[in-house]
Amino acid sequence: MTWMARWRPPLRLAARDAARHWVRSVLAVVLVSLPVAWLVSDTSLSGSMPTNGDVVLARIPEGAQAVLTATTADRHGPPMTQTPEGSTTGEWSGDGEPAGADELARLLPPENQLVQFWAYGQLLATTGTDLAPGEESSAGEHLVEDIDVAQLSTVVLLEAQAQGLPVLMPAVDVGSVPTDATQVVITSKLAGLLGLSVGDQMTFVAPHQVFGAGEFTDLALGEAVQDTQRGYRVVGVAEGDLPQAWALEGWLAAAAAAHPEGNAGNWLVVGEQPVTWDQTKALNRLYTVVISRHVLTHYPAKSELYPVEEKRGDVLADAVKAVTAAGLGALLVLFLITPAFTVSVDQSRRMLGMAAAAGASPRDLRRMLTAQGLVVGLVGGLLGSVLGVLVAVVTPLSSVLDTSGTPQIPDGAEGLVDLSVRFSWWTFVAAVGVGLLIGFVATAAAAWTASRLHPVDALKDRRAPRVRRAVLDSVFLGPAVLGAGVATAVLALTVVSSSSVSRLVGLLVAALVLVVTGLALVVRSVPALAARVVTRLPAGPRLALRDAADHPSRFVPAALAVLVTVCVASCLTVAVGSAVANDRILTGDVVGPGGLTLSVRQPISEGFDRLVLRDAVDTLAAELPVVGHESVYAVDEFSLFSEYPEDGGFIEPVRPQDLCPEGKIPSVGSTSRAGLPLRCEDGDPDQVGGGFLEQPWWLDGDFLVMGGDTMRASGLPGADKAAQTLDAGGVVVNDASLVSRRGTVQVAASQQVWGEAERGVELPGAFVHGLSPKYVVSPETARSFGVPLTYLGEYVVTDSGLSASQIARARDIIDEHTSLVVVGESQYQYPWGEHKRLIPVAVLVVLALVATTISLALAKTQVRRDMVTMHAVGASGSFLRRFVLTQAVVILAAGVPLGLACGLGLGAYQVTWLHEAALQEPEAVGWGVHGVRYYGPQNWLETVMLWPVQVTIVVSVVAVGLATALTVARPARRLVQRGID
Amino acid sequence: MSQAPTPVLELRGVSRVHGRDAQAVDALVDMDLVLAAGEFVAVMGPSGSGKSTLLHLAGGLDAPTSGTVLVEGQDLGALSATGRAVLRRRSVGYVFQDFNLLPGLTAAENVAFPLELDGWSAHKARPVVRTVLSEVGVEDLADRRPEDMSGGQAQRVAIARALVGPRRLLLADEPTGALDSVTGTEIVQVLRSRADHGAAVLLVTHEPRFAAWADRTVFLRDGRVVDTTGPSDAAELLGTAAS
Repeated sequence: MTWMARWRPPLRLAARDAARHWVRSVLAVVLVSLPVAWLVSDTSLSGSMPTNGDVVLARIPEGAQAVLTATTADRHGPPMTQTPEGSTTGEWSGDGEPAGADELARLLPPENQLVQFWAYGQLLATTGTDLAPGEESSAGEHLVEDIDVAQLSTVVLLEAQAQGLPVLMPAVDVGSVPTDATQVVITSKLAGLLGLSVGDQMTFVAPHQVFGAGEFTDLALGEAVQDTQRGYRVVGVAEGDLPQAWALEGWLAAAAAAHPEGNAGNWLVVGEQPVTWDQTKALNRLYTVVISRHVLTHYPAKSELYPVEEKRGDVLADAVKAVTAAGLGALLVLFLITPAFTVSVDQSRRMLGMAAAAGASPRDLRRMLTAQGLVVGLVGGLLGSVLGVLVAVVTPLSSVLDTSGTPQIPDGAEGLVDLSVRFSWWTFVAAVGVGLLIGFVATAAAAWTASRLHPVDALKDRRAPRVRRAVLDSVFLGPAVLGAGVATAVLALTVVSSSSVSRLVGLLVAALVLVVTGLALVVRSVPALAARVVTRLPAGPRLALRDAADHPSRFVPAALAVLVTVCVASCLTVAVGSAVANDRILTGDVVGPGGLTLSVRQPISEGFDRLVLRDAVDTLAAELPVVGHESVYAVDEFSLFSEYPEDGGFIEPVRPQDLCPEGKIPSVGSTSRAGLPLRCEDGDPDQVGGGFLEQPWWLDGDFLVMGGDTMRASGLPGADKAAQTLDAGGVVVNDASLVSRRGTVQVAASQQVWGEAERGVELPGAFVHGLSPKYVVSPETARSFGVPLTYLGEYVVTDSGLSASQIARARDIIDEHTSLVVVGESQYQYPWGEHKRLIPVAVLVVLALVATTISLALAKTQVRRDMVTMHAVGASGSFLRRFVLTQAVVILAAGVPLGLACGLGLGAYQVTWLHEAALQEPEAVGWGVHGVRYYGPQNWLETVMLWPVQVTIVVSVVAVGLATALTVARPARRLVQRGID
Repeated sequence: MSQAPTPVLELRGVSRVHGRDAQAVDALVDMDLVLAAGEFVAVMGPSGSGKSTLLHLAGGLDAPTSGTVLVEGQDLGALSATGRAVLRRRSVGYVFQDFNLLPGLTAAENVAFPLELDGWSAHKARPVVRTVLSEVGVEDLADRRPEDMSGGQAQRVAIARALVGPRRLLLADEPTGALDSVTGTEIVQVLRSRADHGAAVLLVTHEPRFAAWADRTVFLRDGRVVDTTGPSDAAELLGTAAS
């Protein structure tokens, strides 16, 4: 109990001091509580976020033990491996036959049953035929052309064996479940679109397929069922937002049985016995993927899982992010809180002196400050926990899911996944612990200062002489340490491919420590240096500069807090801008911001598709400022290469052969913008890449055909010049290296697909940055080379583009009107992607302002005595306000420019590091829209500073900081202590 | 018949009440005081007698509850806060017990501060500042910061700041309180010298030997003037001779 007795006096004094300076104490508590609140809310939200396993588990139908997918992989290929969540490596589709029921059943618990199901998503539903329930017909390619568009919808049909259907389908709200293969249950969405109710007849149509992409099955099912239709009677309606239907095995099952090649088998395992991980691995040997309820709820030990090769690139990318985030976050918290306790020592000098005179040892003095820090930390931790819980409770988990990106909950499965927030007791223990730690660390410097106070000086409130040499040293030392930090960071970058991850992390941490120390020294020297250099300043600024120079323990943390917040905000902006820019380079776009495309979800024929899209345009024009539409085409590659090889010609841009040395190709980064110096890297010059355009799914992104007016309607940057090129019979490309200095593009062309290509044809050329298709020509140019065209869709023509809300409204209008049409918009409305990606930047700007305000408020308490003097010798109120304002200017002048430089540098460094990290995964080579290889999902090709956002950050911090300073700067009403003496 | 010169400081029926209702305390009650140019007046009295309140009112740092304060004929009650600040920087010099020099400025800069507030450039103020520093005997400290000075040196600089420019009223609130007796005497001699050169000096002090340097001494108790004496009276009354 002796130690408690030792702590009692310091605790009592600390409590009294905290109560006396309650504003400072409350400020410190709030500052500690903010990071703790973030910790609690973030940990609770991320801890409650459904994992991939949760999402997958939710999608196993209730009543089923497991879902099996017997793939059509070549049985002699490499063995299949999978995660319990169902992720596999390699390609498992092919022309082989999947494992059959008997083979699968032998590896499963004998008590369980196997139930097969089939699903296909590229179907049309209609009320426009007179097919009787159960009646099928094979009507060739033109099944629905005579049907009114209003009587058509797309639909996903799921068929299952009798035991499986009740398990797979949702509860029927109206009507009953199917009892034979002529009956169907549909969703309320489909019923609404087609005006169907229980008892009505309807027909499902499988149009002629070029490609197939069913949601549950393989491409082959589309080919098996195409050009047929079947009548059904609606016996039930279930709640659902998507057009879906459920029936007993019949139409799809029969088609798959007739064409088993390439058709994967989908099975449910029903019964009481669980499917174990050992059984899963046994089924993997049959090239069957298993998602088992038991395995997901009894996750196998790591040693039992298939070995997974750790991706070095991912580890490196995570390393730089973790070091940056943890390091800067910790520094930010400390810089914000430390000044409060530094001022605390200053305000308590007399009290500390008296305590020392009364017999308190240096350790006791230290304890007084430490005790105050611990109490503030404890209260801040508790307050932060409460705030964190409040934030977590009021934040919808779904909104966090949107920003976190993973896991994606598929359409229709939202209600199946638990999205409630759960709290863990250890979170609160950790929160209070973090609060105590922050309180302790933030008071460490102040406690040390207190323990070194000379009692006589403290009693007389006299300051120790300034150590001028240290300030002068830091003028030279700061840049030297900063330089060493930058050199260490560059060294880490140069050895990224040859060093171990732990060594690289060590180098990064060392670089961060050196850079922050260097910045602290530079910041510390700024006011002293400025005061020496600018000697003819007016009294106010001179005083403010010297005040900052004389109180480094208050000024340096405050300026560093501003510096770090601006640095992180700026760095984050670079990261967001670069990520969006790289997405844009690698995936491209077919429409600019404010533009809109319409295409059919399921192509039927050019005439019918045009009819559907014209109807959609008319519907939009009734409500939105739509003035017309322009058609776009693609090369009919299916016709070209498969069915009519002798009829079509082709045209394709080729690179000048002397651009790069033999065996090398231009890097994507150097060809994504006009005028960049060309860089060459290893690659196959003949390799052609595929596009990444997601909508419409059947659009091949390589080659588009459109006239000048269509290009103008696209709203893409540079569309006008590109339109002129198209009208002049030229080629528009997305690879700047293809356009010669003469403004031409060399093309290989032939009237015969399989004939000898005629190289060296030169056409007028134009480059469009971020264009998804590799090249675009006009319909006239395409036809002149005999290229067969296929109709894709329409660009909506507007007077001056659509706003984001108008585009959202257009989606709603089409969604309510028909399921046949896909609305396309730019994926890159803004250079930062979506507005919400800038929320963290805004939060950091607010933090920078908080840092400035806190520092000024603390400075005001510290210079109160000087203000009294100035007031007494004739300083007016406006002079005192200008003085405090100048203090703010000094803090901002030291923090903001260095912070911006730090952020831009750190952002550029991070992008370069991530680029290098991506290069560490050569196995993850992909092909971008330029037909040039890239590495990994993010190649980080461009460093985009997003200057408008950077300027906004600086202007916001400076302008609002000064405005806040003006409020804080108001001199105290009673500068003269009134007494009766 | 020559017209009497305008008093530098004049208090007419000045009262100051601190607090309200039950907490109301009369700090100064119906006080009349006139200081002419070249007059050195000491104010004495026990703690709580209203000495500092008198100085605050005389310098326009506080406002009377009733009565009028005139500095060089200007009614402080008729001036705005800015007007009073201008008056302080041009007409009134303050000397504090704790010196209250601005720690961020050198001695010369501290002295130049009121001039700079009045729009003087540092360059223009320099010769004037040198002269004043020389007058109080600390010219060689011009470039030192307050923390590098002794108490006596700091107080001389503070007096120089109070004297600089055209100011004729010097208000000193126990300027010797933090000093040893020798240095204290030197400081009072400086004040006496300024009075001899035409400044009106109002000195608040607890020490009769310092008050003995004044032309007259005003004794306060409970906010009221209880006695006024000349220098010889004071010395006699207090049994202390001015040396």
